[in-house]
Amino acid sequence: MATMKAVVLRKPFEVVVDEVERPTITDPADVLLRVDLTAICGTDLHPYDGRIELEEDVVLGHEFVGTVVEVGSAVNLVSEGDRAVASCVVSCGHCRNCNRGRPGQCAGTRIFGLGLTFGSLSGGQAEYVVVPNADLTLRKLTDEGAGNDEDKLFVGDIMATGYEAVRKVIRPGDSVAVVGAGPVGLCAAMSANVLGASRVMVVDKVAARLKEAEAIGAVGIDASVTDPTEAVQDLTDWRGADVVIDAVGHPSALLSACALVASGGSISIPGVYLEDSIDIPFGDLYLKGVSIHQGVANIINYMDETLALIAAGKLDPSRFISHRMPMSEATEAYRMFAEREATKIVLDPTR
Amino acid sequence: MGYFADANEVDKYIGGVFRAAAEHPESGPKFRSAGINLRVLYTDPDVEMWVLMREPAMEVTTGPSDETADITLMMRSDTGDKYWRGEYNLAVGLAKGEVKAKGPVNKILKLVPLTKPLFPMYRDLVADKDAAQA
Repeated sequence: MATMKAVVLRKPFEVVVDEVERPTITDPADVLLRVDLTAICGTDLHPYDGRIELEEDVVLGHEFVGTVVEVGSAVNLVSEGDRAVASCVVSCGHCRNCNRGRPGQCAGTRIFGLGLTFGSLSGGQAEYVVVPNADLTLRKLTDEGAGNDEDKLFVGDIMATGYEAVRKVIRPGDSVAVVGAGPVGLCAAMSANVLGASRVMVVDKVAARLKEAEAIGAVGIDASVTDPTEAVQDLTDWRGADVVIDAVGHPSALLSACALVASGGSISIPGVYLEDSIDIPFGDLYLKGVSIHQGVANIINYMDETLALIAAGKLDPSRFISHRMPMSEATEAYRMFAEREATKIVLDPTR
Repeated sequence: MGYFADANEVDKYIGGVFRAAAEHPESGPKFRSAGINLRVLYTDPDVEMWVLMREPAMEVTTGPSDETADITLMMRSDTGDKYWRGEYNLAVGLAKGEVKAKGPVNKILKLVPLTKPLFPMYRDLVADKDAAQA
């Protein structure tokens, strides 16, 4: 049995780097990738802290780029030796929602590194990973244009997620407020600039993250010293933001988003919610005619756009990487990320 | 011919694993505290199975019930057998339409990981039947 090193979640708060069985392709549409770079995502924290309950011993990770080492007989778009980035979400490509352009709501949605619940796909925080439905899930990488593999790594999740959250609701000239300056929030703010926002405001309490937001041209609003609602009202001639992005996925963030949005505006929620119910000011939202958009991101719909914008030098999400670490230090990396000591951590599986 | 001879066998083995789940040291308390009424419509052979996950004891019954289901699943009995052996990918089955589900997705997501520790128990339950058929 061939083995490999991988980041394994034994149980909540117990991440180890262990020797596990190397995955093999089992379907003609599969590709085996040697992982070159992998990242820790905010979604990884859900099983890490037990908010999403998984079985024991799950190989984590759903953001990765790699090199193709083996292709199934039905794969046409990549070949051995190609470098490629994978969507974190694997869809079937032929169900009703896939045919309606909603692969994030595919009846058979699978997500790498989230266990049996999401289709038993072994994660990408490993030396090797099998990518199902590869022609749909992967995008081949080239060296043309701007951007490096660290930028393109994020097209598989945070960049496409943040981009979609803005792209599906914005009109040119809109004001955009982003609640939460984590990686997805920062990618959303960066996308809002590219997609024609007149002003981008980012709300958070972590000074380093607000500094990142300001560095890409957003107005940082420190919720620990300023009332974000007042601040956004002041910056929008008392209208509120036309577009509000909840990039946190916590009821308090959603309530904040409800308070920031303008009449006729939209709330877009890339943050993850699993609560049975949440109290929101529904009458206020109704009277303001606010639209709410949410759901698992339709990553594959936006990978080509974000790769093109990276190549054009208009998106550069690698600037949000705060730490580059060997995968062997994943235990410490998870601790740091969970305690917000790092904005974004990239792991090198070869070290 | 499917794996199960009749509805009684579906109840004995698949119902049996749910009954055993109630006693499982890790999964049992989690199932009971889930507070979910699960209805599974197995076909070929046809069995309507109810799993009432509640304190103080989980109840597993077959046939119609006056309870209200939070989650309803429909699949062939053979699909249920493969799932409990750990040989069936539920996500792929849902995509193919081999498994249908009704009810809040977040509740379904909470239940699925609880089942994995029970796969060895199911394989033990069917071991004699497998040996007899070999």
